[in-house]
Amino acid sequence: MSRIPERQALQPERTSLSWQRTALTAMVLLVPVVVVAARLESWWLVAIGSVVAMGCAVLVLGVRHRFDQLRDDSHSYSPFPVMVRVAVVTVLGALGGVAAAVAVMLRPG
Amino acid sequence: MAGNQSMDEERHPEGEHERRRPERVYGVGDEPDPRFSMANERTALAWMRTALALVAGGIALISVASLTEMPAWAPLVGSASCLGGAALAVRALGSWAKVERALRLRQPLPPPRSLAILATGVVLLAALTLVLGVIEATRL
Repeated sequence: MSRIPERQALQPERTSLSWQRTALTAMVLLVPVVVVAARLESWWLVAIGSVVAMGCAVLVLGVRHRFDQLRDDSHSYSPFPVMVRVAVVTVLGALGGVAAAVAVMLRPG
Repeated sequence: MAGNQSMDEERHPEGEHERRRPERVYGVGDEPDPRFSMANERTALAWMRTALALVAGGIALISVASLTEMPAWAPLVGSASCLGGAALAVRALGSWAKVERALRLRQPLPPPRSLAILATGVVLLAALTLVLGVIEATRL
């Protein structure tokens, strides 16, 4: 029997969609950093940015576990570990942005 | 066999609430209505997306600065936006934990302080950008 009365107001579906929106946003965050670095021919930043972007994609892929959890009405799960992944991706994206800003300011000419 | 049992326990553990993390949230009070927990989760995700938008906005400004001859302060403003977004994402985790704990303890929900901080930060960043832009324009 569902713990959610008649799955009222489609709560799990709305939460899943919310996770999807967040995950999709997080996944593309570092792409502009790599593009900027490539344009500035800052190859060290391209290399680091690409590796971190791939790491972020792997972290965000972990969100799929939350979809399974939201479909399972028989148990309660904590969303915290998945939220931490998204927060880590956001912080890495911010650090990538700062690194790109430093590269822009240090460019010759 | 033991491995299968362990895997089964991992998927459907008995007394799941005792194992959920963080302990400071799930170690207190009673299970709230799951609809309230999910609403809290969605609110935290909305904050995360706001944080991601701040970081993305900062990166966009830095990207534009790399494409054109923009003044040196443009990447600095972009960096400030990025760091603000990072701080907001970390704060979203804390806010989620505080609200979930209050729900479990049947206490009044904590005030949304992040909202005032975000509004102040965005206004300050916009004012700073405006002032620097005007100074730059008068130089030309």
